[in-house]
Amino acid sequence: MSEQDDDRTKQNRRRARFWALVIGAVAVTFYVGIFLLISTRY
Amino acid sequence: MSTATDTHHDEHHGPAKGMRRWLFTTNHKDIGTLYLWFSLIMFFVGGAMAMVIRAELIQPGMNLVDPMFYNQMVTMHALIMIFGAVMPAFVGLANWMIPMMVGAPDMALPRMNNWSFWILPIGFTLLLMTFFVPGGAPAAGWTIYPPLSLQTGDAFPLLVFGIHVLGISSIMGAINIIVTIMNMRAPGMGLLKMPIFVWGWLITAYLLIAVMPVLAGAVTMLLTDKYFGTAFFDAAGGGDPVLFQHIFWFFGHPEVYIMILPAFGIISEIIPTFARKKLFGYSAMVYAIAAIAFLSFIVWAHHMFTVGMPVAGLLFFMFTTMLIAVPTGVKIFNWVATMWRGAMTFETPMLYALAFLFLFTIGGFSGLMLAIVPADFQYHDSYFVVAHFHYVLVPGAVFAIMAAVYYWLPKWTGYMYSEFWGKTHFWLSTISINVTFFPQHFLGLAGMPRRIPDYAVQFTDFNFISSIGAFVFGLSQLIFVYVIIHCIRGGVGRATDRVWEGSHGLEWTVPSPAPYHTFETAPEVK
Amino acid sequence: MFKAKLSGAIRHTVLLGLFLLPGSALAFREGINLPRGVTSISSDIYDLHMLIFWICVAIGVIVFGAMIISIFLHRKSRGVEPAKWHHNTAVEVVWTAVPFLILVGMAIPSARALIDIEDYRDYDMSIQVTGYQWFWHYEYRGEDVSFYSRLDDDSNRARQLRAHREIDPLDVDNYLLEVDNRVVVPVDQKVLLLLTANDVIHAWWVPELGGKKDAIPGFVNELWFEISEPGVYRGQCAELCGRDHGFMPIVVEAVEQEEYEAWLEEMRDRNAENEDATQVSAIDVAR
Repeated sequence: MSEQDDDRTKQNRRRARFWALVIGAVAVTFYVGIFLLISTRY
Repeated sequence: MSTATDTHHDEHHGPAKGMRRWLFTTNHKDIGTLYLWFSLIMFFVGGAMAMVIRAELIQPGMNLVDPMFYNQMVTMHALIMIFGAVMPAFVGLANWMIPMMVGAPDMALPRMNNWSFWILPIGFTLLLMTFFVPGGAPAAGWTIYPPLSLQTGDAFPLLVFGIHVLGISSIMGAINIIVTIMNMRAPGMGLLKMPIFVWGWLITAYLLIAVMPVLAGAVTMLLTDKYFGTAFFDAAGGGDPVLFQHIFWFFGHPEVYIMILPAFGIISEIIPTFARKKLFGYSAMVYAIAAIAFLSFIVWAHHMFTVGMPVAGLLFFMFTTMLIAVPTGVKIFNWVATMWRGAMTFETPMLYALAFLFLFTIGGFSGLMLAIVPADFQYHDSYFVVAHFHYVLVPGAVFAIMAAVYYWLPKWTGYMYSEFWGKTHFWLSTISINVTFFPQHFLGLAGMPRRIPDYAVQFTDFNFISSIGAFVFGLSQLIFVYVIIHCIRGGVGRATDRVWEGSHGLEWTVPSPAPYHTFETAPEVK
Repeated sequence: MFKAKLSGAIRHTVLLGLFLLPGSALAFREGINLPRGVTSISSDIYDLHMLIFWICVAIGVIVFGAMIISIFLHRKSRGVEPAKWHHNTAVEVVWTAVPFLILVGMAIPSARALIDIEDYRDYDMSIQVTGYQWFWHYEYRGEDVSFYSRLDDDSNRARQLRAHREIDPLDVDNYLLEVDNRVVVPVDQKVLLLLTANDVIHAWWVPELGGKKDAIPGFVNELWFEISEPGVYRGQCAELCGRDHGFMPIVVEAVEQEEYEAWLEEMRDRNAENEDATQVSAIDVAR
């Protein structure tokens, strides 16, 4: 696991974590956005 | 990548013992296994509900259950099969195979991976608990249309929170899959060199992230409508019940493709292996999946042609829906072209893949018919629709999952399954599934609405046939369980590393069974 | 009774046997296809349905034919060597473009039929239809006639759970497809239905009149038909609406104009008698 990851894998995982946060943020924005969109219309 | 290195690591970092191995595991193979077992159990739970439905419908008259309980069965059967059986099975396959297929040591975010799985049983505990609360389980159909779904009893908040939990699980799983594919590939594994299964899942994962929040939003609005005095979907308060349907199907239609794109990937792996010929038109296959995924966002209203839409809306959604036939057709033709002038053998995975090809195409034809708005005015909410989506989901998605299990089981367990019992399972399943669902086309055309617990006597014959088929299909699945357990316990002998004569791809370069850790040093892909 | 059941069981067995034989579809001539129906809409839909169906059959023959030929010829046991090719741009362009053209060919008649169906102008009479859990209410607009329409008594007694059942469903005429008060309409008149619901969403569907439309609380949907032959046409609620969704049938009786007038008179008299039990207009209830 992460302790014995080689440098390349470590680098990869760091990049992966960054993108995971970005995608997660997009998903949450989407969720909140639907509420805002609809509650302002109705 | 030598076997010796793997053995060395195994000694120090093998699985923990007992329950701790499964509870705390961050290993993609363990988590994949958990997903797959969970899915199998849910397949039987949802299947048992289908048996109740078919038993009630075997002859006219209310013979077994109360209509309300029947509605609960219809609702829970769908929720469990979709969220409990089909989706987790595909996530399980993704967990097992994607790191091995792209040459990664594990998923990119192993701890989150553990969570993605372990909140699933929590979600299903919430859902299944609803049978024991006052008012019983949800009975408004899996589409939970208001105002009917707002008549649900105490089960309602459990349903909503259950769906939230399942949604979070799916989103976390999807994020993990995307970042693994985008960041963890072995050197030389370019995007357009990835196996189609990986491509199918990459696009599916994007769909999941785009639509699960929409579903969560929709059910939360239902919750506030019921308990907190809002009126999103209540006409009396200035809301609109049809708005819910629009939001739901904006989730629901991509959801349909979430259940079929990974299946496309699996079939694209299996047919070349057993035809001993490269997949025909690789890049066209990738673009076709992407096109289908894109179109899935602009066709949702074809599920609701009868709600009373403007003609322009009807026409738009009819045309976009028909358009999906083009990339889907490309996929079917490419699979046939892959078989063409190959050298085929017909082991169980190939049989399932071929059944998929035939029967999914039949589901595609009825889908095309349903896209035609005027005709849909007749088909809508009839058994024709029931036949259509069961053709794409059972001999479609479920057969693809079974094909995948037979295909990779030797790699997972290190043993060959019994080809005789595998083929017995295949023939029984394929014949009985057609006996079950083909007559439902006739029922729907003759005027039988869906989701009714009892019917006029002219529908008796086909319902009888359909029920018999369903019982045989249900029983046949016990053979599936037998084959799996038999294989785990040694099957009919050791499997080779390549397993299949025509197999290709990184997953077949590691030993069988796949060691606990694979590709800790990335392989070179030429 | 017992005899009827036994012969029913035998018939099932025989039918199951037939079903498994190729070409047995003939045994099921009745009730395997859409009805052509008795309105211009339903027969347009029927023609469209058959057109699309035969196009699908033709495509199916080609695709399934290729698969079957390949399965028989290109198998390893026949000692064939797999070919090496794995793409061919020309072929791929053709099988993207040809289906597209076929789709265009299907879209044109479909759009034309749809536009005809969606023409709600110039109707001769209109009926306000309100869905309730679990029955229908009909109000003939401008005629002072309105009534509720529920599952008829025999069907209702036969549809109870086995322990409470008084009649066998097989002994009821038109089991689950008969109501206490039928919707009577004149033939050759364009009848407009204004659909709404009082509680949850229902859907009004009589297959022989062509198509269905949802009845949604708080909204009014339109549906029209012009029946060409006198007769009785049966249908059901088509949108899951709760416990008794399967038990709220629709029966439309089409009669000649004079007969219709007479029926209206009769209904007005009946309504007058029931003056005390004030019939609340469906629209008010919906509000």
